[in-house]
Amino acid sequence: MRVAEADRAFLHAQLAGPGLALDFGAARVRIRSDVPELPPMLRALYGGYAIEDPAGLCDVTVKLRRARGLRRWVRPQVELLIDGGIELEPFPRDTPLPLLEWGMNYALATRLCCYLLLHSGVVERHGRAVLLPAAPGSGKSTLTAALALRGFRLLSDEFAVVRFSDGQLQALLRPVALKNESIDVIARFAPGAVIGPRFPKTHKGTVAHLAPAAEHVAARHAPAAPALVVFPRFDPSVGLEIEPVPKARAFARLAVNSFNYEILSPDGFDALGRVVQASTCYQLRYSDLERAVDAIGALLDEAAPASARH
Amino acid sequence: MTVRYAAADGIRVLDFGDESVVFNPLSWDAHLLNAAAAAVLDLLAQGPRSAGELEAFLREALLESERPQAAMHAQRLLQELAQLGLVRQLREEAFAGR
Repeated sequence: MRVAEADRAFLHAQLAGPGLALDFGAARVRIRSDVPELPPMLRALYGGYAIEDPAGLCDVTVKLRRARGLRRWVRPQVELLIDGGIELEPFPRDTPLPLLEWGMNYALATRLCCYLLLHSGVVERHGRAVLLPAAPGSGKSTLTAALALRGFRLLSDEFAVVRFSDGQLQALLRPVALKNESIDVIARFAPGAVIGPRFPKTHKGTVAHLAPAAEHVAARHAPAAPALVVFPRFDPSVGLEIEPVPKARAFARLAVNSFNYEILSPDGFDALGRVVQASTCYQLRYSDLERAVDAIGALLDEAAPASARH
Repeated sequence: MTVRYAAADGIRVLDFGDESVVFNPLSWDAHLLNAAAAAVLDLLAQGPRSAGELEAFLREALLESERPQAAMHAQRLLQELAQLGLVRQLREEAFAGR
């Protein structure tokens, strides 16, 4: 059964009991919760995912719960337990989904050490992946979302998951976190896009989540070969500017953007080397989303397949 | 006594043309090297060399106007590579029997 097919009572019972187990591609997460607002939010954003056996192996278990004690009454909060421990500050009671999503990002970034994890959006077309590594606030999520809404398959908004064995990229597919102006930008860019509730006044401003397309969820176990690395930056002073980035420099920037490169070296070094050697690398500054999407499509078409180089 | 130099054991090099990235397995640090430094490291990975041999190697690679400074370039490069742990100095007895 898929999450969209489950009624609220079933989802509530799963979350309050054995947990709602979801498979994101490279990792499985078991979600537990006593927050009554959560089931419809999960149904909207994770509708395309199958409900896995909660007794099966999961990489992480998270539990979102209402804070106890005085916090039940005075400025109520929600808190997140990751594998039984609290590692993040609680959030206001009316922002359960942002805490769950950020908490899962944190949990996966700190626990999924069987892959090299780069902080990057990833999309693919015809099996060839585009990495969009960038710092928060650079427009990475907006561009990743836009590409996913224009024919690219979304692998992740947050993680490039690199396999050590062959340097291929695995999906870690979850909703795309859109912030502030980006929410309306994407709503206008693709009026049919499924965007969940808006949460104003988070520490990153207003946040809403774009649900991944059902076909992307269905394909989440298909890997993709790295072919293009684009360091994006939203810049209202330019329409579109593209500059090549030397590979050694791209390597350094990707390593800095990694969640676990340092603890994985030398395996991390080898895996990142494979990604960079197989890719052409650019820096892209943009303000026009349509032009940026078209440009990335053209760059991907131009990038020679790995087999055609050396 | 002749001092010779060799590349540190187990270093990994990603050659990207104009620049290379080198991984030091002892420190787990990665270093960005220019083409000259990478070429010297590659030479030292093939076998120990004296400072004089490195100077001669660099002289070949340098522009004619830069050749008088080849000794200084070789010395500086060796010092920097050694500081990064990518090059080690060999004592005479370590290679005397080779």
